[in-house]
Amino acid sequence: MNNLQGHVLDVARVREDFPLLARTVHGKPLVYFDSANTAQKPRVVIDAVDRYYREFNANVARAVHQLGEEATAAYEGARDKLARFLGAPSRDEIVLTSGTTQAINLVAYSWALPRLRPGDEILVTTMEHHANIVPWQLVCERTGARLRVAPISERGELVVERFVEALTPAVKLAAVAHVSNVLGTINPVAELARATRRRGIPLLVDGSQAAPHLAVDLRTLGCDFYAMTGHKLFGPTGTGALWARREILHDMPPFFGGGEMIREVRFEGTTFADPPHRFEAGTPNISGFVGLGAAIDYLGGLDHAALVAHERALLDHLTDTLRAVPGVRLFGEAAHKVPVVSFLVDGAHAHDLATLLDHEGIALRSGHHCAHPLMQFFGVPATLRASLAFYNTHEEIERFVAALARVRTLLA
Amino acid sequence: MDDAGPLYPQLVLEHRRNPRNRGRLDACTHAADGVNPLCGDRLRIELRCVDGRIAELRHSGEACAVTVATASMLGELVEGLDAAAVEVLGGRFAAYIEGRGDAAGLEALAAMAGLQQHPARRKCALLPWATLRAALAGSTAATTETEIRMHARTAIAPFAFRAATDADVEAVVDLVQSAYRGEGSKQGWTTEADMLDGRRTDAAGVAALLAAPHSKVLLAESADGLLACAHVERQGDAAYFGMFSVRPRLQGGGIGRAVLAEAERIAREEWACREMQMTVISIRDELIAWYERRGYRRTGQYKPFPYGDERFGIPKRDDLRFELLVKAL
Ligand SMILES: Cc1ncc(COP(=O)(O)O)c(C=O)c1O
Repeated sequence: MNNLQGHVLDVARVREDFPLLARTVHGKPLVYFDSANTAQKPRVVIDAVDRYYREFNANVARAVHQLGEEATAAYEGARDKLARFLGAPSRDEIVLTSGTTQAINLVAYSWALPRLRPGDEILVTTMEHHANIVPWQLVCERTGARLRVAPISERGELVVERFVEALTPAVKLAAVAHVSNVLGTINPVAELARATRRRGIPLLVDGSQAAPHLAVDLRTLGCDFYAMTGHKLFGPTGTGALWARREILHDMPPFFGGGEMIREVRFEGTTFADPPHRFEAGTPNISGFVGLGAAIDYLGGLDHAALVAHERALLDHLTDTLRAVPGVRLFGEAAHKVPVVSFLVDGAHAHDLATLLDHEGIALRSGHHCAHPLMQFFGVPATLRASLAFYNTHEEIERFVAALARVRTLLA
Repeated sequence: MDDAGPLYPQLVLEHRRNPRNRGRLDACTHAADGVNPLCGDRLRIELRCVDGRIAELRHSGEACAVTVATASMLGELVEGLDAAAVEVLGGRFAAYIEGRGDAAGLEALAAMAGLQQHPARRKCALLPWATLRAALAGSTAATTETEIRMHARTAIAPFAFRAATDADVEAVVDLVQSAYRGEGSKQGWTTEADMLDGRRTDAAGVAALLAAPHSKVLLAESADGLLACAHVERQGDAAYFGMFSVRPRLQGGGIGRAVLAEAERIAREEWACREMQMTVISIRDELIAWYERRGYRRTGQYKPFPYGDERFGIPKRDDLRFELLVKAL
């Protein structure tokens, strides 16, 4: 971490950029520890959406008038920004979607469904979000392929050797979270990609939880598909993207049909636009992408090294404090993590604690976090999850831990 | 800290700390396992029933304070009650926590008022009720997600709707009879066997409904045959709903709801009716509660029971009358 020295994030300043963080909940100042669920939005994002509707609301790629030009420029501008943000070789490899879920389903229906045969396999891991499990199960049901699962360790780390062993010739696709939404674990994607490439197996990476914390660089990651969602990246809901290698996208048939995705339509047959527009039928979430573009600009204006150092310090503080509380069980103690901590408290139910903490102004999530198989692995029905972002503070962690001790006594 | 928020008043915390009727029964007559998919909580309810009434109840399983406290309070409340009375109370409790009714008859459960402000936690309190109802109905599994799924004994095959024709008259008469009259009807909860003997309808009655204008006898059928029926008739701006029958063993599985919804759809979309009306024997509280959960309202308007006309059955008591229920479409 030496290279991070000297990079200090002015958190108080940053917090002023997020209007919602100033509100109170049940009469107490809000402590928002649920950013992995959805992140709060900086004012520039809110203003960009507002400005779009006030000043240049028009449909994209259809109107030749000035408003249409401006809307199209802003919308397509978001694609450029995403391409740069993710380190994509080309903007034409960025398909804009409503989020990760749609991105993964696009790959499932347009890429996997036509290719897979009985006996083929799709490899996932124990720590996947349902969005990276269920689409593959649906594909398996229709094609006769099978879903295989690479295991994790008790510490919540992917067992890389077992993942590599599972890459038999039957495997036609591997799909892995870049960062676990429950455990915070950062998976060694570049290492996994080397193994899959050597065997000619495409690798899909679910980047939902990575993009808000890590500097993603698709050129060095070496995967073949990358899915992400905008609302966790401080942008509006209903935005996201699928990146895929150009040659892969060119081989994929359209998924939705409609306006915008065509070259020529005749009743005898239709020819389709090239990627990425081939996959973007209908009027898209223009205001959302205008906002997402603003979010990416905002992040670009922060000192990323300072942000990483701050998040690292928050994670260490939160983990060490919770670990010191008797009766607290932590889930996921990987060496490489983002500031997401799942835990349970002896004798207190996760939902009761979450409701009681909410009454103290502290928002965190309880439940299965859309990861049933991972809950089954740990043998628990649910956990509490504190998920932080760079706008959180050490003082908030202290408030949270003090409140946890208080509400616990109520249930004792 | 005294103020734990509306969901956790002292009484709830106290029941959670010292739950009543916690544990298992050595010998139970009914038992069901309930699961709340929101959090994976599980609750088991075991009953010893005598003459159809709950003599003993025990609950066990890992669950949150809201579930445990509700199970604890509910156990005290339902002792001595039969399935119909549990149905009424369950309906009242569900309405209460949604802020649609008062706590009359709910006793300690009135302490769950905080759920009115915590919709996300309501299922936690409904789990004990769903599990209890499943146990009483003879099912072994329950979920808070709807009564439709997971009824172990009464799994429902896919079914389709159609309008009855003259060829269906016999089957319809048999179905209606089986749902309301005689010992067999007691397998379901719509039975009127303790109030009425004789017939509920006959072939001439059904044929007349088929012949009338703006009148349909709606059938729900699966590969197994006729599952449910109902009569809908347009009467000006309103439609009238009647002769509603579900095979007794399939009751509580969601078919009835689907039939009612289809009848409402016909009235609204095909006939442009503004209101659905029906008359229900006024002492059938659990049936009226079922309709109230589906948006029907009691009107306080009564019609006399046709005492002496044996086409409607032979009454076993002399206080029967019909109440008009209505719902805006
Ligand atoms: C790891 C992971 N994958 C996928 C998703 C789904 O994202 P979205 O609901 O935005 O499509 C989420 C978010 O809940 C997630 O955390």
